[in-house]
Amino acid sequence: MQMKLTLRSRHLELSFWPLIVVGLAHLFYETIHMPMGKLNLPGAGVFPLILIIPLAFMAVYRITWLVTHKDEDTESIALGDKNIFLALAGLIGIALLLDLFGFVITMGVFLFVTFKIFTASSWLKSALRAVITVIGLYVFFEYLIGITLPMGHLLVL
Amino acid sequence: MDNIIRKCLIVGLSIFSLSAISWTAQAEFPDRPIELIVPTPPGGGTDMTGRKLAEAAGEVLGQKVVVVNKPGAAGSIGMSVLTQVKPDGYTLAYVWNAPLTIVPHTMDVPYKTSDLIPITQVTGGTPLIFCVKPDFPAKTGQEFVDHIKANPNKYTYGNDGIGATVQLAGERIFQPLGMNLRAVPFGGAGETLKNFLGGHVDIYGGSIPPILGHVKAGKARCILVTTAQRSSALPDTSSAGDLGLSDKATELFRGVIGPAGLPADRLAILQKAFAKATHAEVVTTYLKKRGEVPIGSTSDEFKKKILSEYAANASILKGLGLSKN
Amino acid sequence: MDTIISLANGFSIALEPWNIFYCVIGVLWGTIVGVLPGLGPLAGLALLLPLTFKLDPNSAIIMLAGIFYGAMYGGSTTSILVRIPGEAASVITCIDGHEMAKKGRAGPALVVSALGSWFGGTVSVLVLMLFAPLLSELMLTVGPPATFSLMVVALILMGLVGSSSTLKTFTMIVAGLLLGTVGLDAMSGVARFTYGSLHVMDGISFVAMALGLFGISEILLNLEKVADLRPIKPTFKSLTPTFKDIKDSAPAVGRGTVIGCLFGIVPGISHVISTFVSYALEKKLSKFPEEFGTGRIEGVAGPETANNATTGSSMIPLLVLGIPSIPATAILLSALMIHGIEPGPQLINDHPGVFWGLIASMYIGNLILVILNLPLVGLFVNLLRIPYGYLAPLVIVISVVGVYTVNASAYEIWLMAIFGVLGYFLRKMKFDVAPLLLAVILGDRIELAFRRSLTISDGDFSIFIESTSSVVFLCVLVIIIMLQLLAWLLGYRKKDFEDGDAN
Repeated sequence: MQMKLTLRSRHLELSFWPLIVVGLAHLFYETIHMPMGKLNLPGAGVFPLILIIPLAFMAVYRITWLVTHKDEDTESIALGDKNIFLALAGLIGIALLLDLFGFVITMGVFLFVTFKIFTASSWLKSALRAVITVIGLYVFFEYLIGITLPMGHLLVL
Repeated sequence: MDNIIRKCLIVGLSIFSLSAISWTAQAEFPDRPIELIVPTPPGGGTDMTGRKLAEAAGEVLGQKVVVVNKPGAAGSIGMSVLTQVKPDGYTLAYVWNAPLTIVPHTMDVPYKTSDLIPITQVTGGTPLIFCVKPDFPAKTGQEFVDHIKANPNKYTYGNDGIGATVQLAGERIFQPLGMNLRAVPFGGAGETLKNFLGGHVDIYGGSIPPILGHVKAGKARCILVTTAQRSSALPDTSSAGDLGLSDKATELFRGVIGPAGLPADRLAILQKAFAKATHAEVVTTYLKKRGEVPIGSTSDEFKKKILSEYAANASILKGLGLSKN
Repeated sequence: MDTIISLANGFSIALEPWNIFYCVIGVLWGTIVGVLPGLGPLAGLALLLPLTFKLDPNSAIIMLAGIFYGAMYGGSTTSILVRIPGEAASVITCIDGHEMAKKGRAGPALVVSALGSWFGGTVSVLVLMLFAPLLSELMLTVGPPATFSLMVVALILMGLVGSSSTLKTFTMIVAGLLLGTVGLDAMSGVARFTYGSLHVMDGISFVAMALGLFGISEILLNLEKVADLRPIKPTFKSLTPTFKDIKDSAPAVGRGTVIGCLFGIVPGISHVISTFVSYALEKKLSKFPEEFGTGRIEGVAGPETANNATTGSSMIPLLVLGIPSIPATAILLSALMIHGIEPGPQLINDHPGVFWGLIASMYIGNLILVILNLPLVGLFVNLLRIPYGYLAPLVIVISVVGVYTVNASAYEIWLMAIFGVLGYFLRKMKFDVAPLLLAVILGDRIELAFRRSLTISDGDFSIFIESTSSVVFLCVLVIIIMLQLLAWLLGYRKKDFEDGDAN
């Protein structure tokens, strides 16, 4: 499965800095609606404003530099990998499901899937290792450390 | 070998599914642990008294009461969570004044104070206090008022945050008397005390225990408590009542509240249990050490107390320009 | 002479078998919560506090203090092994510590940080014992104006920390300061960049940000080449520092101790500031400044020593004045009060047993910690034997638990994931994320100190030069800028305002 994206580092940066400029423009708009106070008693908006302006200048400077120095870039950067997408999908899954299904089931499934795919071991081995790990972690955190882990609302009813 | 592993797996999975399906027959309320949301980080006054209370209430109810800390946004995150849970009495919250009587005025929160169901007031009677350096010109509460009025906008008082309990308790007294002081917000009582002792602010505003030692050492002199009665710890200090402002008095309180829609029969069970737990010996001895008074009021009494302070804060916050309306 | 007699009494208390036992429990517990990302001394103290209600006050305070300084030891472990800063004070340790681990030198990094921590910690107890009353007076003079001046010094020095180009480092610093403004403005109550979300009211959670930018981004980068990652097989020889390691780190440990003790008078933030001041100093003094960021042992030894050297000082406001200067000492304060000990100026006279017992126990505790931590180095390094395909999911699960404990909501997990992706892209573009994280910590404090000062003076700017301590810090600032300018004029600084490949 090939999900890699390879691009020049200046192209990556050239897509990054304009995003920053747009974001800053939005924050600028937010900031000017905040109370500014007096010169000697600055309000809530002053400090963010002082930061947004130089940040925008640096972004614009960098964009100009990148545009005018086309030939100085030789490096290519590989982005993305199926393992990365899997890890992120797993994190998002945890964020969505942890409160619903509780620690043991959510983490057990996450560990099982990632173990299986990251290490390419057999289904059974991955499942067994996931179950042992998750129970070990549960006992460690819940009983030894004393943290209240989510029990799962769906299961308590 | 594979067979053994498979067997282990089956056994493991069936234990899982068994524990997952925890069928609960209709039984007396409560038939499973109760979650008590404490909207502060662990370790503070509300958290510590809450944990003691949970311990005692668990014994009374015959079910564990589990404290869950959900801090953030001056307690309003924990309160928002409370409004989203099923009002079955299995999720309650233990809070102090601010999330009930101040925050709904100043922030856009997804709950209304009037919707929540107060269960019982657990502690109360704790005053907030204002102290000055020993060389401050005024000696009594009345002299303090006169001196501040003669020197408007000259003195600064440290407090625990803009629009937080200390500032509101103070302004509730200062505003009607026409006293003009500049509020300097700090991160908490410790920081306020440090800046007061270092001479960076003129007046300490906060709770009594942190400053008591310095009063005894002669480094500070307390001049006003925000309750109607004088404090037993500092009997020489004038109270709001001494200034003729008994109706403007503020005290720190904490209590148990439930979500809107809590059934009346369960409310009655919970009120009785938590009121009883409030007077359990583990709780009362602990509260006494902290200088707080156990109350254990009825739901209606507690509701009245919350709503009257809520109403009073509306006008003070408007005067300070902090009200969101 | 009085000090010696009192200390002898203190040792007679601290050396009672039960108190040694509680001391061991405390420092062990502290090490555990320090090692676990997301949990820190605060969570550790809160979890164990109920157990101390039944103990006698000496044992209780000895045990709780043990958690506090024990956590400082544990913090560096995950930074070095998996590039996850257990807390703000070990952000800097990630930079060179993890690079060392990648080269198979996790052992020396951990050993040196344990030894440095012990030295810094012990000296700081010595300072606490000898100069507590004097230092407490000094601490009181540091008000908002001086805090502001100090923060500006710290900010200037932070520019030296990053290993990316000047432009990128400055971008990270300013962006970090801007991130720090998110949330409720403490001076006016105005909500900034919160978009109506209550979760953002208190600002962006540091734990989620640190775990995302450092830990998760590191995992994502490694997962690209998971097939090529061979587990590191530590040998006994690779565990022990070489003579050269010791020679390189000894001066850094010495300087780190001095920095930690000096900055200790500004409790609350000193444990973080001291780390990057130490790092910046080591980098400036080194003959090989360009090697910082690739696994220089001084970059671990200095900061790790410095943050432990602040632990003694952070107890001073509590013990001498009864003021909790940081949340962790606030819990110690409530523990004292539960036992009927009134903290405040009379504590040393009224309860000499508590004060001197604690001091003595801190000497003992630091020794126990180093004895405990050295064998643990072997154990921890062996974690790297776990194939990365198993280690990565495990680290993710532990990180999730860490952020979840912040306020028991999934929101923090989202935040960690977002910062993980951001960190991945930033590091692909050769941004160093450490300055970003440190700037977030300084961000709201620097602004607050500035505006608080002006509120106190009612808008008079002269407040910044009226306070002696503020003037001292401002002089330091001027000296740093002059030196920098001088070096620049003489052409020593070759790095221009353009992209340099320091990574």
